[in-house]
Amino acid sequence: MWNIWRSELRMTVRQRSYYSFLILWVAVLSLLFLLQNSAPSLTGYTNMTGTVANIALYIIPLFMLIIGSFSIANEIENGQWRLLCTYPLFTLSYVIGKIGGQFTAQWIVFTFSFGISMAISLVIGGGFSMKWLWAIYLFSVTLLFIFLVIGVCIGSFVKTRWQALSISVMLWFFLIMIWPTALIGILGSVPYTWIAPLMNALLFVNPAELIRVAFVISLDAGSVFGQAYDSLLSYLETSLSILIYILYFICFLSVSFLFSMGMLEWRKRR
Amino acid sequence: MSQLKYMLLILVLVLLLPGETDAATLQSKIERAVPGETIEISEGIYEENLVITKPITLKGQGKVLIRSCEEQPAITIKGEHVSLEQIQVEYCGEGKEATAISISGSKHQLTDFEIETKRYGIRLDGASEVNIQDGLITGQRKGNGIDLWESSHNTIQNMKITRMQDGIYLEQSHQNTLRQNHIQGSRYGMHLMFADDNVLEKNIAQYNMTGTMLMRVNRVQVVGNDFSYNRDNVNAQGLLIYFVENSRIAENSLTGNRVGIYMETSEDNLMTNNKVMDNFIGVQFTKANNNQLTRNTFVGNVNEAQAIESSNNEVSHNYWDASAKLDLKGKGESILPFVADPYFLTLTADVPEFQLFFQSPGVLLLQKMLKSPADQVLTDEAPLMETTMEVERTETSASALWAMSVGMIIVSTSLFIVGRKRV
Repeated sequence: MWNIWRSELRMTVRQRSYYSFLILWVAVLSLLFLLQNSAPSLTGYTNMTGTVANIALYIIPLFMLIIGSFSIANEIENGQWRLLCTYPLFTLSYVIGKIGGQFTAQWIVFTFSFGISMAISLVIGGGFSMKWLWAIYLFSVTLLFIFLVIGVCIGSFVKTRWQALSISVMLWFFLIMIWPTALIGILGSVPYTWIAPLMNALLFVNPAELIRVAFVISLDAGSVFGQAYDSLLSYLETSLSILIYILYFICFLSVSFLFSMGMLEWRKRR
Repeated sequence: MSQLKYMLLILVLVLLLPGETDAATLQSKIERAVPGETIEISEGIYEENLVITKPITLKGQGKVLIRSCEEQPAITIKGEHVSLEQIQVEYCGEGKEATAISISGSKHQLTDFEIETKRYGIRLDGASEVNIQDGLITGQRKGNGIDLWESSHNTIQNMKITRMQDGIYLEQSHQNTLRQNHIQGSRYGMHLMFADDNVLEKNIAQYNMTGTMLMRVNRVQVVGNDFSYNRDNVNAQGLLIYFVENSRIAENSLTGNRVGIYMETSEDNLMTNNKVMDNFIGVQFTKANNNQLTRNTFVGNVNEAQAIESSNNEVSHNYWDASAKLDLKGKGESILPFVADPYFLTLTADVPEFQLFFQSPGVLLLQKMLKSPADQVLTDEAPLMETTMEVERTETSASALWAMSVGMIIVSTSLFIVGRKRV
């Protein structure tokens, strides 16, 4: 597992495209910091904070899905996967190694860019609240991780990189862009009393939504979701919330690990 | 033997002599006092109902508690120039009109007192130039904290009122000043009915059903108040304005309410320099005409504004954090008009659960689908580039931020170098 992890990390950080991510994140994050800086209030959750979170939600999941799915699809296309199959390698360690290595690499470049962008904004003369910065940072890193895992899941069953790309974009479009519209459409056809429990349940189905809601709550603005969520929010606002998030995280990881492992095993046998 | 019986009888009679106890009651002291006298009440619990009709001062020494459960008020004040200081009242009369302190007449002074009541706290009936300040009123939501009926030119300030029906209620009462009072946990913080020319200044009304309600009043000044977190009821709002004319609502802070300012059937009012933050709806107009909404700051509201059947309102030069801003002329105002489209109201009207999608990335698509009817949008022709007032802005010191930034760079760089190494 550690070998896969290390080689994945080494391969990724040595790629030229890796450095283009550095430029991308620095550009995007500096822009977001500038935006936030022009907002009048840094304390609460404002429209600007919402915009900043939205831009992160647009760009991070898309890239992470593509990177995650490509990292496996690539090896399948160029035959490295076949080669690896001849080694006595447990599939789960392959999956974990892939995710771990890729996440470490992406985390490094994101953290580095975050630091650089912060420095740039500070030089320009911006002021921030530490709490806000940490909220944005953790929000982005969680998105990074969750969508890398989903990307690897996609990679485990596609045949080509082209397929990986199209499925990634499709999933991104569904989970990020059209999620509210789709839900409103679907929930319009169920009995009224089902809507509330279904909305609560579906919140946990889409990790992007859950992370976004957790981010808003972490900035003490849970009330923007209205009274319908008072009971849910009262759970998520207490220290119990950590437990819920950890539990969710474990469930999410086990499901995705099992899925990608199963897919790869099935593929090995063919 | 019979002599002994006689002596015992006399002894008992002497001990039970009523004159002795009667002289000790507060009421008897009040009866005996000459106008202008100050009666100092020693510490203790007094179970009486007091009636004060002449200009005297009652001053408590230490903890003085007057307790009564009778139908009549614990303290009745009439005439002129009565002063009450450092007195606590515990009143448990349950009648519909039962009140702890009843005041009529003029120029009375109540300071530094505490009232715990089952019904009303203080009722002013036809009173004028009364000064009520630095007091505490706690109730059970069954009566008003301070109730003014046909009482004018009174001043109520620095009161702390909790759990009443209406914190301060004014009806047919004019030219009163309500200043720096703090009201919470009540139905309405301040409630004005048919009351003109009153001044509401620097009061705080939080966590009530509605912060303040103005109904059928004219020329009221509502300045520098804080009406916040009034949201626990489906009809909750920070400030409710109904049938109000020629009033000025300025420099108030309205945060975290269901509706910040709700205005219905009102004309010629000015709303300026208010801070409207984090409400479900910032301002809502219904049949409100010829009002002026200018130089206010709107930040973080789910729906900025809604206007139904309202016309000729002058909406300009407000700061909207949701507006796209472009200043071409350097005048501090944007050339792009801001249209406050309450599409979220349309979405959540039937299914409140959909509010979870507030500022969700996919909502831009929805926004186009859910365009509000044209008669519900409010347009600011010249939105401001900057806020009109200081909005709270906590900044962490630059050194801590630099430390965080440098720390991130160092950690990631070292991991990068480790990661690049050949094994």
